[in-house]
Amino acid sequence: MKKFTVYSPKNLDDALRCLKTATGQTKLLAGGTDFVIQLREGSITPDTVIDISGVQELKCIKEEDGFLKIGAACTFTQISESNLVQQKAFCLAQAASEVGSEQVRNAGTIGGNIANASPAADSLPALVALNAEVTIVDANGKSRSIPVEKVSAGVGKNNLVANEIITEINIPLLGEDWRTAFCKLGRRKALAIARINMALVVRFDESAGLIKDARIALGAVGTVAFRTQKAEGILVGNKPSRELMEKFAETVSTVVEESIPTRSSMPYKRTAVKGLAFDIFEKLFSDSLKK
Amino acid sequence: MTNVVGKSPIKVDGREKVRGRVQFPADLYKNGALYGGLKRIPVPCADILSIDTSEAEKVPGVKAVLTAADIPGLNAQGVLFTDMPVISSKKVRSVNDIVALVAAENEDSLQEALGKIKIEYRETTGVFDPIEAMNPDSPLVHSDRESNILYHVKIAKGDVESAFEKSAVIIEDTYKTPTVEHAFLQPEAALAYLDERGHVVIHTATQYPHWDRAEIARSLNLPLHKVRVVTTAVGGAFGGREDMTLQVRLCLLALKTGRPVKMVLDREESFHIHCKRHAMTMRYKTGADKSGRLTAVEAEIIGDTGAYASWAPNVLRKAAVHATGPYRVPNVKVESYAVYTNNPFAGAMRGFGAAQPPVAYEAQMDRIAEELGMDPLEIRAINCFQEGDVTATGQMLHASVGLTECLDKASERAQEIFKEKEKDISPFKKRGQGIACTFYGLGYGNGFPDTSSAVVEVHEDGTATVLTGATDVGQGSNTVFAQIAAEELGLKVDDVTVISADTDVTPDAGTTAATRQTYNSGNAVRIAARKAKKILFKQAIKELNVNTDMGLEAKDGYVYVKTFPQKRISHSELAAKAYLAGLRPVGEGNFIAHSTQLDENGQGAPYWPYAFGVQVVEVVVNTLTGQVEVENVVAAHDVGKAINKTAVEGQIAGGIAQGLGFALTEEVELKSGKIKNPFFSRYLIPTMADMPDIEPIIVEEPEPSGPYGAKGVGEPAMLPTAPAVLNAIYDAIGVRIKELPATPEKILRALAKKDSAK
Repeated sequence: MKKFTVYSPKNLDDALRCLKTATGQTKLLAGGTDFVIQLREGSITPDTVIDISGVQELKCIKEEDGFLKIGAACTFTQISESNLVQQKAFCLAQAASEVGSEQVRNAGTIGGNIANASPAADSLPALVALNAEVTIVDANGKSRSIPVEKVSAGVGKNNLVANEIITEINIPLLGEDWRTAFCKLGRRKALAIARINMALVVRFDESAGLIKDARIALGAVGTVAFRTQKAEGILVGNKPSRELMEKFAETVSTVVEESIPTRSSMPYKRTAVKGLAFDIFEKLFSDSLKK
Repeated sequence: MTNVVGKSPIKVDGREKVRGRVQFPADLYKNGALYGGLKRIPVPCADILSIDTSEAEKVPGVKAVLTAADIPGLNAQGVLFTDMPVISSKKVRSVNDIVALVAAENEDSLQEALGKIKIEYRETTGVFDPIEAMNPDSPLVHSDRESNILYHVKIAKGDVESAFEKSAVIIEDTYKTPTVEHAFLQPEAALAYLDERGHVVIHTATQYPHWDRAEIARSLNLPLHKVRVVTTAVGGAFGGREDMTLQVRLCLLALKTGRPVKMVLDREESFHIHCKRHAMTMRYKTGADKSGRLTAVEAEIIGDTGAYASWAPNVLRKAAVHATGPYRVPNVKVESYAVYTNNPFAGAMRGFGAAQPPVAYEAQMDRIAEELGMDPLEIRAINCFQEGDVTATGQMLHASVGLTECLDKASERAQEIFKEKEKDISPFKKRGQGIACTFYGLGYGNGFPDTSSAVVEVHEDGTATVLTGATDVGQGSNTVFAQIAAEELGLKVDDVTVISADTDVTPDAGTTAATRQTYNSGNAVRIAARKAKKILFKQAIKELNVNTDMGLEAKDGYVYVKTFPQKRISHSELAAKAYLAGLRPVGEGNFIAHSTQLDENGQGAPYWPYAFGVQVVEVVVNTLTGQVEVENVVAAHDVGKAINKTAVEGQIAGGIAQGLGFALTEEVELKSGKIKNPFFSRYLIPTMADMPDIEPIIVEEPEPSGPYGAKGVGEPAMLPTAPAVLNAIYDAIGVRIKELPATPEKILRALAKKDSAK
């Protein structure tokens, strides 16, 4: 393994100072659950590593100005166990609780998950369905904000430049009449890379029994998790029912087929996604389906 | 009544393991130790044209770059045949092959030197499919052999042809199991050095230190007494630590450099260095009369042993002997083959050839039952072995056949668990139940001298030490031996220390394999303890003023007169007096398991005793995602006698975990002899979250020749799981998966095929 210099800033200012001389060979280390593997494989060969796991400002979860704000270095354990996340963005808490294993969740961070740009990243569908935006700051302290799905620049690549760092994930708060859920399909129950993951965020008028709004995001069936207006359209304006559930599942299946038409896993995934669609629909509308 | 045996004292090394104090080989350090490394070429099949080590030797810090020419003794290793080079020099036959060794002062120099070894080679055509390899025109894996067929055994009993003609139902099909990895948690590691006497010493995790010593001595050209193999704590073995991996190579580096050398493999290297479970193709034809009684079984089993033999003949023999399942079958014809290919080599793995046939024969049983409109339980009940029955090899099962009891207890308990549950959970979630019966012949078998030795010494304070070569690979044999010695001597487990698996100190007790340590070495320890006790009793005769030791018993730290228990003397007092009188209570025990060789028709008594097991599995299958969730397993195992109940239950749980992996997720993916998934992110073993609720049921049908009636459970525990899961999948969704693992994709494809057939 190539030798490299490690910086361990204790606050954001120091971290930004470390970034001033950053080059393409500079890497940020947060939880290391992907980073260390890539290092061992030799697929990354950094000359400088900035370990941001000690930067306290990046580890807060708070509600502010109509947003749920999650620091980039928050671990998945922190997120899944946070009352605030469970109340305001339940699907994200669920997604966080299904990442890897206990050990991976204790170390892995949400910022790292986004920056690593794995098509199967578990936090992504939830964040995309929640309309999350990512705050990126450069070495000079200049900040910009982009939708979470725009961070990825293809498998394993991101749109950050060398002297930038993700500092925060901002999720617009939802009203009381919103419901959210996350589902994941893996080859086993823990330590499984998602074969498909899905988040569904809906506004539901309980008195009328009508779905007023819907945002669906699918992961691991494209280079980055994406929304599907086609499936959302099936739901909006309708009452949850078995028929709607089946129509929804069929539509999601078509979306998968169109997204990865040539992938060898497509025939499997287009069927399997229906199972996920049923599960997520039942999670959200078990009350309506029982009637 | 036993006092210590049959209870569940915690494992003798349990506390230290929980506290992280136990030392595995990677935890060992020695001043001045060099880093050892192995050099491979990136293809599985090649002629080596030249090896140039000169640039590697110039790397600062490099102390040795060794090739085949540096081996003082035999450049070959292997448990049955010496067909695997220690260091390959002319030919590379598989991704297992090593072409050079390096020792260096530090990791960087080591890596640099490994990179600077120049190897010129010419890729050759390999053969990667065992059935293709059987064809006489196929390239030969070993050019000195006439064929790639390494081994063939036949079992012939009765007349299958006429039996099939008279059968009411015949089921014929082919089943396949893949190459499987042991996936033990601790990758290979070792520390080797020359001690102050100049003897070669290696500390490593192995299943049989005395065999390792023999192989090291043979290749290093040393007498046995100048080689010492010390077994450290072992982080799982499952058969994957029986062949030579680092042992000979690391000792060679230590010998040549005169320095301690340590090597710790990573997971990827570990996948490439030890054997795998034989992939098998099993063609079956099974007949039954209209009442469901089996009439005949014909089977052809082909096992892929990869580039090297390892245990292949014994594995394929075990497959043949177990091919009918634990059922009375009057007419049998089995042909079993071990075939060389250029795949990674296969060898021992938990079940040892008895794990694959149940995937075939238990599916056949369910299919016959279905044809006849019978219940899967019923067909097994009317065919299963009873005491006095005769096996496919003509062996009389004269004792300890607890299969019916396993069947009754498992099915009864399963009924209680499952009765309230619905089969159709939703339109796409279906519940099903499956059962499987298996048997397993303990020991090396086939007449091989299957011997264990032990020494028990009682000290002058009455406590005792057991010495035995048997390795505790984590299953708990040291605890079992401590219990047995304590039981015989009338001591507590805490009063006994077990020292095991160090060739300088302990007598040879064979491999920790074939589910043989409780039975074989347990017997040896018991015999040794009885001899030591006999000597103590000599003194007790005097102290208690009795005329013979016949009425004496040792229990709870005292030796006393059974008919007059007030008359007693404590162990500490008795032992002290015995020592003063010049007596030394030391006993030696040897035990040889009995078996006979198969004759030309595969008839004989190849193993003894046999352990039996029945598992009932409940699954929920999602017909959209193809996922199988295993909810419950009821596992009844006839172990003869559980020396340590908790340890037996632990083995059952571990066996089920390994069986579930075999059934659902595990496969070493091979492409032209290369391993595509040599890491745990893509070779998927079950996690704790995947484990079902397990209900172990211990059945104790005593084996007269076993210690306290004990047989064993290590391997038997995993055998019924996979076939029971497959039968449960069929029960749930009506499709039969005949090729493991039963992945979601295979299940969906089978469902689609079934739908289109409608």
